Amino acid sequence: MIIYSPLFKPVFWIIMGLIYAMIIAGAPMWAEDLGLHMSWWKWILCGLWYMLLSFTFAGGFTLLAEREPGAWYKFLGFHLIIVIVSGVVLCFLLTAL
Amino acid sequence: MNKVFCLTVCFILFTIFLLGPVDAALAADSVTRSLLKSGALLAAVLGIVGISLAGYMAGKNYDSYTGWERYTHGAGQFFNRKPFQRESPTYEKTEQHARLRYIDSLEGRLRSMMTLMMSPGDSDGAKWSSTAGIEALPQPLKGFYLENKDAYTHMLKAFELLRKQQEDWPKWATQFAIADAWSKAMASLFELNISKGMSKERIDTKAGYPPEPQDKPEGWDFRGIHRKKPLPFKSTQHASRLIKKITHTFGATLVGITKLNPDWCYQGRLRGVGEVDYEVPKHWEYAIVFATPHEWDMMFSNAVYGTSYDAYSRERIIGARLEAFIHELGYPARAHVPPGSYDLVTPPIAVDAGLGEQGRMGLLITPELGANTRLGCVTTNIPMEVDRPIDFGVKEFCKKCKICAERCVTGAISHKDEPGIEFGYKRWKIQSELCFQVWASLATGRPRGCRICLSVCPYTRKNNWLHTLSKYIHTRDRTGTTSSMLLWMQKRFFDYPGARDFLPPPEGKNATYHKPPDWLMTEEWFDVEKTW
Repeated sequence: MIIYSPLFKPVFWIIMGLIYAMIIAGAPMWAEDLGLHMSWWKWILCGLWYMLLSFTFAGGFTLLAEREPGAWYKFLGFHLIIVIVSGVVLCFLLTAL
Repeated sequence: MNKVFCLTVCFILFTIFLLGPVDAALAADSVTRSLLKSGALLAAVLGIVGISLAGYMAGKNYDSYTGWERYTHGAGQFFNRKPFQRESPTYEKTEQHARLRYIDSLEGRLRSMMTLMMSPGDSDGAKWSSTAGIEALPQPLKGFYLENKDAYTHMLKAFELLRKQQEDWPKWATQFAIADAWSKAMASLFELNISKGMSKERIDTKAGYPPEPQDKPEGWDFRGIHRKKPLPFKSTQHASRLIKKITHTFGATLVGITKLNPDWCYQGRLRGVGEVDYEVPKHWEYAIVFATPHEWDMMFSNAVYGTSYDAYSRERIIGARLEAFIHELGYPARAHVPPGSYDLVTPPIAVDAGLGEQGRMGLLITPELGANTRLGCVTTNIPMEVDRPIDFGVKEFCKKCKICAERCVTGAISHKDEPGIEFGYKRWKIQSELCFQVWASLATGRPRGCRICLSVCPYTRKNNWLHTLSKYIHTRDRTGTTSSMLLWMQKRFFDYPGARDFLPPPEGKNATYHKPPDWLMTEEWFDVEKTW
């Protein structure tokens, strides 16, 4: 299986690193064009929200691969609700402050 | 963990600082700006797809099967043989090809020569010596060596070297003491009964591994010790470190060492002696306790697809090897291994040795394996540094969890909030006869245990990031908030069959906790009619 290849893991995380670098490069332009006045704590909040979103999907798919048929979608659904609610709060903070 | 976290933060900060000026320069160009913005949007989506894939791989990865990692599942091979496959092997077949005779192999000749020249334990001594010559050898040796006289000369020379090797061994015995003891421990599986001085009449192929004691501990535990004095360790720390290291190489997933509390030794029966009351032998001063898990997929498909014997057989092998290793070092040792070859009860010993804590269901719960922990033990008098017991919150968690009690088919596990008192110690009572009723009721050929309680225990989790993270946080949160939150999710998110569903029809439906892996499903591999 490819996931056990000694090459796959480092290559995968290098690509993931590039993806994250791309997000970091483009995010300030989005903020500027959307008229958001970003400060360091707003960036941290955005980062944390994206981490929560990532955690939700990573956790859900881990449970799926572990053959937990009920747990994976319940975990995903439960955390997605938190992600959506926190996302709305974050939007409010970013635009209002 | 901390290093990885620091490196990740440094990487992100470095990227931000590096990309800041680049961004500013590119921002001036509207096309580049649009490209960067689109790229970032795409990357944000790809980031989630990638992390989902990473999560999926973490769940599938056999490296998370603690104690049964990827190679035991044949999943570590990377070389792709397909492009190199050919119609025929690369050796070349000639007209003279014939079936190989056993005498053509060194093993065949060596076995015969050894029997003729060295015959250990035989009163009549060697049956052949080199002075008698090839003609005196029995067939087919004689025929072979008449055709291959060089081989005969080489063999005689090898036997000369063998004698010299044995004479010289005392010169090297100390230098290679550990390597020799380790090798003999490994060989003990097949050389158990052919050690020096043991006559053929005493060879008992049904002796088991390790063999059941045939004598009182003061005799049996010292058998096979060939040193006049034990090999002295530099310190108790050295002894513990080496014994733990060696026990891991014998196949143990977890190892702990403790002083043996005599309360844990059964009264009324001593292996090798019989049903007697006895004083705990003086040389049972320390207990080396080791743990191995069941294969994870099989364990999660308890009750009917599971077995206890995978972990049991590994425990026996570890116990036998460790016993032999310690004898080689000159110390007494006795292995106590499942199923039933014990003179003591292992979970509390493992608790003393800091491997984990005893759970509501009476089994040991460890941070690494949860309740998927099977135990063996070797008692000895090697002076060793002992481990300290641990408290990672199991007792408090068990008080509120009760999943094992709720899923127990016959209600053998206590539902009470607080543990009662058993044999003068606080613990939850197990109604063992009710437990045995489940063994005798499941759809198996003979009673071979149940293990539902260890499968459904929330601590029984593989070693992937999600469970490791949960474990890391909740064991450090002494307020109990995290464990309550996790337990809430456990009870609502995870599907459990009803307790009686584990029984065969008509009362139950041969339910399993998880769907069994394909390698345990008959219908996946055999041409059988599926009627279930």
